[in-house]
Parts: sequence; C-alpha cells; structure tokens
Amino acid sequence: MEAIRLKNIGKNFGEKKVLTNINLEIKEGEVFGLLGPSGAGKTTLIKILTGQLPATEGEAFVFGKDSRKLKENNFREIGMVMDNSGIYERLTCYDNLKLFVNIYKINKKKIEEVLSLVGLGKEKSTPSGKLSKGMKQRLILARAILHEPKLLFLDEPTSGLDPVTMKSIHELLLELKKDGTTIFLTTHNMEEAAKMCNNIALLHEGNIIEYGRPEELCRKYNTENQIKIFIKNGQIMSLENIPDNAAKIEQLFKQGEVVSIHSSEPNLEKVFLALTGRRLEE
Amino acid sequence: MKVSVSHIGAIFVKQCKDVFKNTQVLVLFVIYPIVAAIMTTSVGGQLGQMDFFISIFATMHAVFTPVVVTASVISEEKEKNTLRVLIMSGVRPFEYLTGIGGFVFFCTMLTGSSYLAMGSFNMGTGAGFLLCMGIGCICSIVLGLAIGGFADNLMSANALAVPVSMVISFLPMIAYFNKAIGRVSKYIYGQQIGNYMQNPSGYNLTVEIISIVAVNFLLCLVAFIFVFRHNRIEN
Repeated sequence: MEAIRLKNIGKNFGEKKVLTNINLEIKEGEVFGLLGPSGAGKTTLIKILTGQLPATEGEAFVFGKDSRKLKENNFREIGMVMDNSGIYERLTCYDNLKLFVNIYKINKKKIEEVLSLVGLGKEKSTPSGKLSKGMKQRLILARAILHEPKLLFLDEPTSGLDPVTMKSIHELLLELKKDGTTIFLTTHNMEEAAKMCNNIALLHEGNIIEYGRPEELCRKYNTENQIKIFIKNGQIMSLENIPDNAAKIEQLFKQGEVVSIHSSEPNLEKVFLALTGRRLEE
Repeated sequence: MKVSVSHIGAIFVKQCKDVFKNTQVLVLFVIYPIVAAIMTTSVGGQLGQMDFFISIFATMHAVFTPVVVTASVISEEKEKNTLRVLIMSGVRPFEYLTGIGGFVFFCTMLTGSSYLAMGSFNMGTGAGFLLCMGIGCICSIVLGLAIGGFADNLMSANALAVPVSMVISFLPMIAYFNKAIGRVSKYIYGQQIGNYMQNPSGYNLTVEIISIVAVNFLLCLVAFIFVFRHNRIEN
C-alpha cells in the first residue's frame, strides 16, 4: 500500500511558484529522500503532506487520506522532525516527552526507553534548553518516534550536526527502517540520502527533475564510463569501461599490482550539479 | 466536536510545570497579592479603609494578570513552534486553548483567594468576591487568547497585552479619584469588577451592570473568534 501519494501538486506563494506539478508515490516501509538546495520547496512539500499548508493545485494523500482532512487518529500514525525545534526549553527532557505520552495515551515506560534509544538516558532530568544542538535534535527525534508512528517526516534531521551525532541519528533511522517505518526525508546531504534511501527525488526550483534509486541515478549519469585502478606503486590508472580493457585489468590482477578498483560513477551531488548547474548545499 | 479531556489535562499539567520555571509569569501571579498584603498591613489603616488596597490590587490581579499571562503563553508557543507540534500531535485548538485558559484561571483564583485572608470578608462577601474575580478573570483570559493569537511572538504580544490590560485594570483606580473618568470607565468590565471589590457588602447588582459585563465578554469573544478565524491559531 502507498503511504504517500502526490498528484499534480503545485504551490504558489502570491506570484511565486514554489512547487510545480509534483507527482510521487511512496510505498509503506520505504525510505524516501527529497534532495534539493535550500529554498527548493522541500519543507513546503512536507507542510502540504501534513496538512499544515494547503496546496494551490493537486491532491496529497497520506495513507489514502486527503492531507487537508487529516484528523487526530491520522496524526497518531505520523511523527515529525521539522527544521525548527518545537521543544519546551524550560522543561526537562523527561517532561517534554511526558507531555506527549499523555497526549498519545501511551505507557510512561516508553519515555525512558526512547531516551535511551537516542542516547539521552543520562540527560532525562536536564532542562532541554541546556542541551547542545545535537542533543536537542535527538530529543526532537525521540519525541517524533515516541508513539511508534508508521510514517516519519524528517526535515533536514542532521543539518548542522557534528559527524558523531549525525552517525548516531543515521543508525537510529536505519533501525526504524528495519522495523518497517516509512520515512520521508528531506536533506541536502547526498551521502545521507545515498546511505538511507530506497528512492530519492531531486527537487530543483519546485520541480522534480529526477527520481529513482540512488545507485541507479548515479549509474544513469555515469558519463565518464571510466574505471580507476589504484596500483601498488601509488599510481592511479584510468581505463575506459569497455570489453577491450578486460585483458589489461586481468593482467594487473595476475601481477598482483591492484590495490583497489573503482568505477567512475558520479555521486548524487555531481548528478544534481550536472542536471542543474547548482550544488545541493548552495 | 469531540473533545479529549486527557489532552486538556496534559496541556494543563505541562503549563503548571512550566510556570514554576518561568519567573516572569510566576511573578505576575503573586505580585499583586504580595503588594496588597504589604500595603494593607503597613498603610491601609491610615486611609481609614483597611480594604482599599485589596480592592485596587484584586482588580488588577483579576484583570491585568490573566490578559498578560494568557497572551504571553500562547505567543511564546507560537514563536517557539511548540504550538504547531501540539496541533500536529492531534491536540485540537479548542483543547489547547481550554488547557491554557484553565491553567490561567486556576492560578489566578488560587493566588487571588489570598485576598480573602487579608480583608474583612464574611462568607457571603467572600463568595461574591471570588465570583467577581472569576468573571473578570474569564473576560481577561478570552481577551488574552485574542491578543496571543494575534501576536506573532512574545515581544509583540506583551507590547499589546500590557497597555490594553493596564487601561482595563487601572481605570477603576483612576476613577476612584476622578469621577469624570468614572463616567466613561463604567462601560469597561474592569471598572465593574473594581466597583464590587471596593464595596462587596453594600454592592447593588443591577441589570445595567450585568449587561455591561456581558457585552464586554462578548466583545472579547468576538475579538478572539475574529483572530482565530483570520489568523488561524495553529498557523
């Protein structure tokens, strides 16, 4: 079953077109990445999907329900990490989560469980305003997964975080992926997208310019078609990926000269650059 | 409309925990009773009317505090994006507003009941005093909801809530000395609350007074509904 379906979604803010003719289908259990630079319309699309903003045209469905008509029971199936925190800075981590435990009517034991899961077990009595940025982000993630949602919207969840925190968040998300949670992730971090996502879409100026599996997209835009061989004397040999070069490669292997062998496929950053002339992090 | 009592309760409990760590708001709840107690015990008797300061400060407590606190709480939640998170968790705007309004009412009445210990009230005037304070508090909460919903952030909410509530709550005090102001201010609920506070035992409730307070409440409610519809509190 589809978790999300977008049909010809368009969004204007006054005269400005922010999204144009967006069509997408995301299956349950899928991790989908929406990649684009700042201002591409990623957050706007999440807001439309969660009923926070009406689309100017088209329809958006979440678990088959029109996103403009989402009700309390629909929100129970959704977790969200948005770009601006929404945590009560004077309350402790525990009390921040306790509020939502009371709202969702779930067992209080879940608070400690989730805090440990995001690595904030020792910080449960710390006022959330005193947490570092990475810890706050983990607390927000804890709140988003507290009620075990079937669908998780993550708007730039690792933006501005240090590599260690980023890694721990990725590990947590991979665990959720294993458990079958559908994840809608927006990011301009191509490594994150390549590591996490089953499918990605590249969003540029409100249009989806490419869609598919990350590795397929990289293969599709492999215009160089080269193989790079790192050999023992420190040299890098670049060979065209054609049958005629098979013997040469085989010979290098037989001589024991090969340290490693790499294809020249571009990463998602390069794919985006090739398609738009812009870098994702611009 | 289905209303979840547990949601209202969760908001209420959250707000209670938050207020103990929010000195600015906490002070608003206790400042007028404390000042009234100090003034009454130190100079109250010299004016020949022991309950003078109680009536002045109880009026301000019932009118000023709920407007400012309600507007601050809502605008802060909007500014810090916590209101959006609550709404996206399935809390309905009505439940949220009832939770916040209930909290402000509870705290105002709880701290406001301390005036009973300071003044010369009997059972009847004490009950009337609390009822009067409750009515003033409810009008002010609705006005605070409108201001909080209208303002984009805490600073702009305070910039609007403080002068508005000062006008409503200070008028009875000024009218005490200036009868000309009293002729205009009698149409504001703060003045009517103040009139009762000044003389609970000899107070004569008339249809005019009931109408003035009812019209004031309706105006606050209309302002709130207007803001809610045009500003959409969750947006």
